[in-house]
Amino acid sequence: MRLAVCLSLVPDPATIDVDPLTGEIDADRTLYIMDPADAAALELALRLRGEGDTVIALTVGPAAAEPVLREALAAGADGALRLWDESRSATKPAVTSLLLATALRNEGLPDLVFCGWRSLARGSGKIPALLGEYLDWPVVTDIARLEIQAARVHFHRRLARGDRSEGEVTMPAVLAIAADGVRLRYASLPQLMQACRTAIPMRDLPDLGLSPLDLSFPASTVHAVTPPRPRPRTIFIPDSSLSPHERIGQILSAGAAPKSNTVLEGSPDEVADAIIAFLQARGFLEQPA
Amino acid sequence: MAAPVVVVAETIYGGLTPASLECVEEARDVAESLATAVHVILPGHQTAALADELAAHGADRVTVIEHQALAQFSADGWLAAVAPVLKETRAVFTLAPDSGYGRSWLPRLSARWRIPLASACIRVKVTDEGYPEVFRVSHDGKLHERQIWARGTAVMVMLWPGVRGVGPALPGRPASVTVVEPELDPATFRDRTLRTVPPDPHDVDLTEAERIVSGGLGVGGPEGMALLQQLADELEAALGGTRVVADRGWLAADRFIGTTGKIVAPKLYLALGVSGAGQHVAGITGSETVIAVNTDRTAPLLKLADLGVVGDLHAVVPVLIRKLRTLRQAAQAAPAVRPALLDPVIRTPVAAAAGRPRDASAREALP
Ligand SMILES: Cc1cc2nc3c(=O)[nH]c(=O)nc-3n(C[C@H](O)[C@H](O)[C@H](O)COP(=O)(O)OP(=O)(O)OC[C@H]3O[C@@H](n4cnc5c(N)ncnc54)[C@H](O)[C@@H]3O)c2cc1C
Repeated sequence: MRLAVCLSLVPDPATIDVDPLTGEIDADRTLYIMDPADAAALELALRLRGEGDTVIALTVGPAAAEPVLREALAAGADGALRLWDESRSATKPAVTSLLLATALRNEGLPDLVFCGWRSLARGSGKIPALLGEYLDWPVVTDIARLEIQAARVHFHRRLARGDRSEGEVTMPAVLAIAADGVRLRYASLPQLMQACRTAIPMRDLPDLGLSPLDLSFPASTVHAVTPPRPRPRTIFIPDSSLSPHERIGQILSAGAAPKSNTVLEGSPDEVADAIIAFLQARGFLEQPA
Repeated sequence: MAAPVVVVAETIYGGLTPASLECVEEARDVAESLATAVHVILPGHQTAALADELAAHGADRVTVIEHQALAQFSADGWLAAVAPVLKETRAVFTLAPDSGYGRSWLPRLSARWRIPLASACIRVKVTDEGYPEVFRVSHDGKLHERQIWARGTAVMVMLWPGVRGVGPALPGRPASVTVVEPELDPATFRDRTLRTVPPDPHDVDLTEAERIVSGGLGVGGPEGMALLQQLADELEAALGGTRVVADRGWLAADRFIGTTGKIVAPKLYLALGVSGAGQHVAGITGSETVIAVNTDRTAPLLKLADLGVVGDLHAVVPVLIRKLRTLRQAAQAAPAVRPALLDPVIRTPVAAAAGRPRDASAREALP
């Protein structure tokens, strides 16, 4: 089986220092790392690799992105390939996906392509589906766990708030990995030194047989980048007439403000009742009939 | 008629996801500023009854795409079923939740139709000059980006769940409902979902947990934590705690909350014997409702809580557990009326599931 993993080098969020006025990132302080979701994807691909299987790492980026591929080689990837259009300073998801799809075709299509579910950089989360579109392959997003059974990938998918679904997809396929607990294995020192010496091949547009016209997509403008400003949240406030206890009525009237703060004191029995009535009023427990 | 603002809604366990209702309400705001209609597309199997709820949150038109093959999600299935309907709406804006499901098919249509798609959005609007505009999060929430397009550009938007929140419903608000039954061949779907399973509070990651019962040093020891585990089970909550509790080995090391542990955002955070130190509180600010029990009336967490209780947890918790059990048994004796189940699913009742609208019954697709 041939496995390909798409990796990106991203700013470590812990080192991102945003100017509160301009929203600009202090580039001098920023350190770059392999995207953690991509690293989990690489680790799962390496774990899946059996006798005679190969894992190839790809990245779209300038020469400065090479370390992400060396890290993959050190961790055990069998090959690495960098793709870039020298005329650019950055790429959009559509361009990244098209470069990846074209390179995968040219190099001989793998059986599975692994991606991270969403990067820590601009984090569109669109690349897996776009890659599937350009390859005309099925796509499964947010995979927490996977297994190969009879030429199909059986997967557990992460849904909102802890729900999970289980399903299967035929091969070849694009798999977007969201395996939070999975860390990339440590590389040994000899592997690291070996990976540092390896020359990493690069393909540019002519190598890939693409023209700049292939990469022109509808324009959008990022008009401003700012530090986060939370938007006010709409909250549902239950009707206080539903409330059984007078005390809770009070809590609810204070609940009209964004945050109420009621402090109660009483016997264990009284406060337990108050907690239950509060949980009912907020919809955490069913209202008594 | 002016081109509508379209929402593609999602369901889980036969009900609409909160993220879908957020999209409908956001679409309502956008539609009002454009003086146009909100048109919701709802793919699924036997979901037509949900149209009223969509209307109550702002839909003017609902197109239900009905097919047995849509009972469980398939990206290929959604592409086959939704694309023709969506295309025909000529939407100015298309909104969908930024969910794993949405991310597996909507970007493909954006590429096919060359319509820009912005994901991880927290707000959508039209500027006073008429330009489509979105605000999105990037760099792990460290930055917000404002993105705009030329006037009249059709734009697709995936809305980050949980940011907008869902407002009150307006029951009886009318909408025109159309049911379409496309011809679909599930044998051509390359991906399919076999079943959906609810979270297990015992192993759900705290960052995803909807309810958390959390213990601090006030629990006094492993027996105190065991008591809290019982309370958590009763409330179908996950168990967490403070760092000092984890340091003493009363709690698994991956289940402490705070700046150096998990940053959580549950709907309910029930803290017992937790003082509310800065490093802990920084990890719970996303919680919707906070209840705290503490013997010390000056404990900082009591001031932050929606409901603070001055009292000894060792006295309060056993009483609380007993009362919750009595309630649950009463509810089981006289089951509350629940909306009819709309998925073709088998329900295996779980004892702890009673007393919660979205219960934890295992639900599986029929073969
Ligand atoms: C660099 C650094 C990082 C840290 N990171 C974290 C972190 O990520 N997460 C974290 O949690 N902490 C963190 N801490 C520790 C933090 O500062 C506090 O020490 C810790 O949160 C306190 O935990 P606590 O509330 O369980 O204990 P305490 O502060 O000792 O509070 C116990 C509370 O229980 C109450 N109590 C006692 N008996 C009872 C009873 N019978 N009934 C009811 N209430 C009772 C007491 O009144 C008191 O308020 C960090 C500290 C440092 C220095």
